[in-house]
Formats: sequence, structure tokens, C-alpha cells
Amino acid sequence: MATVLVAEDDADIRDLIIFKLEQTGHAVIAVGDGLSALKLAHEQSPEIVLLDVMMPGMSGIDVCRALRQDPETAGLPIILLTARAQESDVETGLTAGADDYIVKPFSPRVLADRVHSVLARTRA
Amino acid sequence: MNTAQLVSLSIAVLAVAVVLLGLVIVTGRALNRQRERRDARLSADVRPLLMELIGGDGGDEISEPLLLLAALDERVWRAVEPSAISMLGKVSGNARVALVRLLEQRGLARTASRDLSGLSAVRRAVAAHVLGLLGHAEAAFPLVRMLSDRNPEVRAAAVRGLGQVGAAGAAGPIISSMTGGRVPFQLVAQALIRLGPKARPALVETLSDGDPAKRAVAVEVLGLTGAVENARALVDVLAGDSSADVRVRAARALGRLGTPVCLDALIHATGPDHPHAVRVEAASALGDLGSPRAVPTLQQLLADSHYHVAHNAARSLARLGKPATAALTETVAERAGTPAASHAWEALAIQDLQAGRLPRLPAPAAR
Repeated sequence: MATVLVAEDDADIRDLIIFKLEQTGHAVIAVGDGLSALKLAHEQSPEIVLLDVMMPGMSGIDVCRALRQDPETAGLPIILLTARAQESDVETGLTAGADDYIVKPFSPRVLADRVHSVLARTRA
Repeated sequence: MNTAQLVSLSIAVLAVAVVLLGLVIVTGRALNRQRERRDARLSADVRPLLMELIGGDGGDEISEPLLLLAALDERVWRAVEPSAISMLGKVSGNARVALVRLLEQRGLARTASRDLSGLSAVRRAVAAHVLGLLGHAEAAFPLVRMLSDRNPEVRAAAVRGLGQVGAAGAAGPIISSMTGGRVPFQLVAQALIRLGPKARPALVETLSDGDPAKRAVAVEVLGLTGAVENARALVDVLAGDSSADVRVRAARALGRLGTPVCLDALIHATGPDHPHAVRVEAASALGDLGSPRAVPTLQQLLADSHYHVAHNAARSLARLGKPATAALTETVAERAGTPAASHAWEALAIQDLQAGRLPRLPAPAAR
């Protein structure tokens, strides 16, 4: 299927995402902060990135912007995972270049479906 | 015993006490670390099973991990329980249903209900938190009782819990819990927002309450939850509430609701006979509302003698599309050198910068 880079500082959620994505056949690289995500996005060439918005140090939005500004990673599909359902936060994420967003609390199945559809969209 | 001997003895006793205290602290920490390591080890063994339960798609797929987790030895369960409880607030859909089933089978709801009457405030607050997370309708009544708990943390947990449980009858008690500042405004508002439309009858009733803080929370929540059917009630609040703060919030709420009746009320509220704070908020709310019908009023307000009224009118115009942009451009050209032109130019410049281009019009000369 695909290599998914996951950046999420909450260990419970990170483990659940790893489990669900591996169950659906993806290979998962998981980190707990934005800076490591940025580094691995260059080193491991994932096919899609899943970023938590609120992370220590570098937020998911910051990582998203940095990935979009770098020609090497500008085309990577990005999904944001946010605890904020406020319209303005979603708008900020999409303006930063995210392809989609998932609001917490989330259904693991919906998350897997969303990864699948964003991948399908970008591969088409 | 002379003084010198007394001092020596005191020092010796003190030294022994310090050494003993140090030993107690070190032993306590070592035991804690050991317990944490043991719990982490036990939890790590069972964690994949928990993930299988939550990450499964419901139905038969979850039955095996559910059975295994439900039958876990008490010591092992205690190590994994905090993760299971914390996951309750992080997942939805079948994942949440599976977790609730597991926690019920482990007797969590029963334990939490019993802990509500415990002596320790921490235990009562945790129990209220857990009952809220489980979302059981039958937890509503005991949680309402906890709103009058002597401890503020317990009251806060009960308010949050009631919002999560979502019982319609909880809205009134939640609002009443604000009396005398016993529960903070923000917590009450969040709980009422979670209740959604079910809270509206109680919120509308609160609009005529004698306590301005309760009226303020009712207005705020009606606006935030899109209660368009209650727009007229909010218009009345904007026009005649005795508290300027409540009227300011009503203006903001009407801007969010955005129905025609809101537009007329907000245009009226920008008039000079209204308090300054209400006019400032109404000018801003007209931008939120987004109707081009507000353009003539807002253009007039650019020349208002109150800086913030004129400033907000300009910012609102910048959000109302082409006719409003034309009104701003016209003001810059025709009223050059006036504060109205400065406000209009600033709004246009911000609009340009937000669109990723340099300001189209030259900056007005400094006055």
C-alpha cells in the first residue's frame, strides 16, 4: 500500500494510528514531534504525512508549511489531525497546504478511509 | 542538663529526623519507580490487545479482544486502565462503543458512581470525569448533585461530565451552577455547547434571569450553536438588556446567526444612541454576518468620531465583497486627508496583503 509518516505526541493516539494503518496494509513511520517529522519526511520519502496540529516545539501547521515550501516535499499529501473543530483553525490548516483534516475525537476507521481517499486522489 | 548539652541533643535529634525523612523519601521514590516500571511492563504486554479492540471495526471483530481484556487479572488491568480511560475522550464511532463496553464489563461505571460520595475530593472529581466520559444518561442525576460539591474541582468535573452525558434536563442546573462564580463561565459555556439544541429552552429562559453572567452565557451559547430560531429573542437582548456586556455579546451572536432580522438589529445598534462598546461590536458583527445590505451603514461609520467604531466598520467592509471594496476605494479617493480615508486605506491594504499582493493604493500622507 503506502508508507505513512505519522507525527503525533500523544502515545495512545500514535499507537492506535499505527495499529489501524498497519492493519489496513500500510507501512508506518511514527514520531512524537514536528522537527523529527520534518527530518524523516526528507530521509524516508513517505507517500503521505499525517500531522497532529498541537505538538511540542514545531506544530503540525508549521511542519505542513515547511514541507510545502521545500520543492522536494511540496507535492506530499498531508492530513492534519486536530483537536480544534473551529472553522478558523481548519482554514489555517488548509491555507498552510494540508490536503485534508481529521477532527479529534476520531474514528480509526474514518482515519484509515481518509488516508486511503487522499492517497487515491493524489495518485490519480 | 545544661544549655550546651540541650543544643547538642537537639542537633542530634534533628540530624536523625533529617536522615529518616531522607530515607523515607528515597524509599518512596524507589518504590514508585518500581511500580511504574512494573505497570509499564504489564501495560506493554496488554496494549496491543487494547489497540486491537479500539482499532477494530466493531461487531464480531472486537469480541475476542473484548473477552480477553474483560477477563484480565485485576493487577494487569490496573496497569492498562488509565490508557483505556484516556482513550475514551480521543476516539469516536465503533472504537468508542467498544471501549465503553469494555469499561462497563470491568465495572468502571459502578466504581465511579460509588466514588462520587467518597471523602477525597480528587476521587470525587475523577469519578465525575469518568462518568462523563462514559456518557451514561443515568449518570446525569448524580452529576447534577455534584454541582453543589464543596470542592471547585469536583464542581468543574461535574459540569464537564454533564455536557458529555448530554441529558437535556441538565442545562438548567448547569446554568444555575454559575451562581456566585461557583463554576467558571467558560466551563459552563463549553458544557452547554456540547448539549447543543437540547439546551435551547433553558438558554432562552435564562435571557430574562436577574444575573447578567447567566444571561451572558446564554447569549454566547445561543450564538455559538447557531440558534437561528431564537434570533428574535437575541434582538430583544441587544436592544434592551441592562448590561452592556450582555448586549455586546448579543451583537456578536447575531453576527454569527446571520438572519435578516439580525441584520436590521445590528444596523440599528450602530446608531449613536447605543453604548460605545455595543456600537463597536455591532460594526464588527456586520462583517461576520456578510450581507452587502450593510455597506451604506458601514461606509457612513467610517467617519464616526469613535476610532474603534470606524476601524471595525472598515474591517467589516473589507470582508463584504466587491460593492464594499468599491465603497472603501471611493472613501479613500473622495475623503482624502480625513480619518475615514485612513481607515478605508488600512482595510484595503490589509485585504491586499492577505491576498498576497502589495497595497494597490498609495499610503495617505501623514497628518
